[in-house]
Amino acid sequence: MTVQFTRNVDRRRFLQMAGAAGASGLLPLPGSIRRALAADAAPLASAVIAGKSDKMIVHNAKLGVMETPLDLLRDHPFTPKEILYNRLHFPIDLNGGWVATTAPASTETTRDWTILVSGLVQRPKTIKVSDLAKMDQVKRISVMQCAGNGRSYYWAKGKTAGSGWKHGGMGNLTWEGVPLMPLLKSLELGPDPSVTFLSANGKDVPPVVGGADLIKSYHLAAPQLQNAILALKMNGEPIPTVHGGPVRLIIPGFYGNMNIKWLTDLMLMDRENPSALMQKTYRMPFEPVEPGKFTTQDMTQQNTVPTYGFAIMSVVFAPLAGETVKAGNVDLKGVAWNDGVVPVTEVRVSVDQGRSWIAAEIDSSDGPTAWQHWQTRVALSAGAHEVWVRATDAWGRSQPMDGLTTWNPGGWDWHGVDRVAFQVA
Amino acid sequence: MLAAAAIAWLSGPAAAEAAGITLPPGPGANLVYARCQTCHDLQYIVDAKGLLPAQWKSTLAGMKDYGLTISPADEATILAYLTTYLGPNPPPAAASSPASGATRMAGAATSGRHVFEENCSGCHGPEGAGQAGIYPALAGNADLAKDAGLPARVVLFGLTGPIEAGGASYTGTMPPFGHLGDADIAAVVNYVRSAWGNAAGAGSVDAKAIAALRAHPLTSSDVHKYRAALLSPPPR
Ligand code: HEC
Ligand code: HEC
Repeated sequence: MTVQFTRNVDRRRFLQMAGAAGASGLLPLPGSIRRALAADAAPLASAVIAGKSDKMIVHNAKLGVMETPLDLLRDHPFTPKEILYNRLHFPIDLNGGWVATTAPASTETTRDWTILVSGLVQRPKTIKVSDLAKMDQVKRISVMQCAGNGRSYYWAKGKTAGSGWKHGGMGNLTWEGVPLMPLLKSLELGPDPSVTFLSANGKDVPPVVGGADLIKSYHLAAPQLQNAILALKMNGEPIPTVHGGPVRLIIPGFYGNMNIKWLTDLMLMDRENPSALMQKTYRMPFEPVEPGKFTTQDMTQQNTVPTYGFAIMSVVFAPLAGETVKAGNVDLKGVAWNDGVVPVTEVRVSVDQGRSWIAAEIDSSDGPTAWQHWQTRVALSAGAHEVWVRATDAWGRSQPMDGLTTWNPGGWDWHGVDRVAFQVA
Repeated sequence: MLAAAAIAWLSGPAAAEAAGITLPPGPGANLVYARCQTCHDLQYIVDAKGLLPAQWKSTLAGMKDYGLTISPADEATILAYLTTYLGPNPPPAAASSPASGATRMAGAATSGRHVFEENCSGCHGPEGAGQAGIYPALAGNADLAKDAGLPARVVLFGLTGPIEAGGASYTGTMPPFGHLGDADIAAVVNYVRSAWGNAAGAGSVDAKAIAALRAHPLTSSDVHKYRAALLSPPPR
């Protein structure tokens, strides 16, 4: 993100022309460098994060928040880094500018990176990323998804704060690294018997002294944690810096915010971390709540649960909203996923507003935490159509027919039945 | 020749512009510009347009949990602004033309110190000491002495891109404060150039000079290039 002063610029002449020499600095700049402020023009993704495709939809430039249009997302079984959604919690400028690139961390950064494992333990230890790289690596294929994915659909019931995500705040990725739990065990930390939670922190820091840090805590008994890795590679390459390189805690099945980027600290604790970014946001109320009647300030550990595992969800990749397809046998396709604890067993599709449902074929070959590719074929005549899709898993967990029933003040966890209108001609 | 060079120079790798997001004018808007851009910019705030009063109240309480320090009086002013102008029933835009809001206060210029405390101290600190590595110090900052056109443009249009100031590096974004009136901008520019023992250097500015600069809008990265050209020694 450095702005080059290119060789072909004559600074002295610029200074004269700009009137910067002497007391005339208050004169206007020459016309050639005058530009009207394009207040409403959304910034290009590549200007926000170097290496991102300009087809990305930028929600928040300052925080590097962007999502993938579905017509790009559907083209790749594993989402390439150029089009993978992104969300940061602290500005990508100020002291956070170093992360604004899809390039991997430098060799030196990776070599010098350490993770401190501490907390209620007798023997805190430090792990070097360079040592992790020498250990046996395992691979995980898993969905990464923002807990706010789909938030904008809640706004039909009541406005929430936060970026207006559609469905593109997700991707399907491969990760390689070292399994977390065996590693913790091998360190012989001597944890106190009261230890029940693991907390993770990364190198990003808030831009004000005393600001809340993004620290996340997980119950050590959570099934997904048994599958977690300290990841060094994404899609076969060193993890792009903006996605957490050189080392990221990957917990397959858990929402993005739980997968701490730029991992620097693991802490074995007897409770959740008190950080406001753990306690005041990214939490779902247990009971249905109404706009204005239950706010983020009403959330407690008793009436809410952190956005850990993905709510079961399915989306349509073909046809996309507004597309026109040929009359006859029409291919309906998409992906489904859940928190990975039990398999997605059923994906049903309706083309008659839910009166009848057709079971789609499910391809689970990449494992339970990856995209479950579903497809089916239905005969459709010319005209306007709508496809609905609904996934169910082995525990009978399914998507609400009306997604608005899970409205909540943070706009998390959207997983209502996807309804896509398209044309047949 | 110069024109071509200057164009090439502008189309270099883009730094993210200071978004220049504007708020609906109204009493209290200035406080939002001043206090709500340290941890994020105004995007979050305009995106939350339509929140119910109880939700805005809770959002502000949340910001305090995240680290916002603010006086009860300022919090009340901001809450009144947000619930009115970014609430579920904002007044029609016509009723709040730019001139009618608290922004662009015409006439009687407030003292530079007052403008500074209200608009700048949230980031640069009450005594201009800044915050190491994040917000440059303005006290003892030699960059301000050279030319009043620099701080004036920074305040009007913002500043984006890596800079060196007082021996430290910054890669931040200063949001534009062009919503302030010409007289207030002149006052604050003169203030930061002469307060805390800063040596003002050549001349002070007045509202007319600010109006002249305003007539030729720049982006925040243009200001960065202007600053680089002004402060770095010319090539041999
Ligand atoms: C000390 C840092 C800080 C300051 C100062 C700050 N915010 Fe925030 N703000 C945050 C953080 C952190 C988040 C993200 C919370 C999340 O991820 O859910 C946020 C998010 C938001 C959001 C959107 C999502 C949400 O969680 O509510 C709004 C709206 C918002 N801030 C408004 C404001 C306003 C208005 C002010 C000025 C009064 C302000 N902020 C000042 C830290 C801050
Ligand atoms: C939201 C935080 C914020 C506020 C509020 C703010 N600034 Fe800044 N300011 C910055 C940042 C960040 C930079 C450095 C930008 C960079 O790195 O390119 C900066 C840079 C500057 C500079 C350039 C310093 C130099 O050495 O070149 C001046 C002058 C300045 N600010 C004046 C002001 C004045 C006057 C106000 C009030 C009207 C103000 N600022 C309000 C964040 C802020």
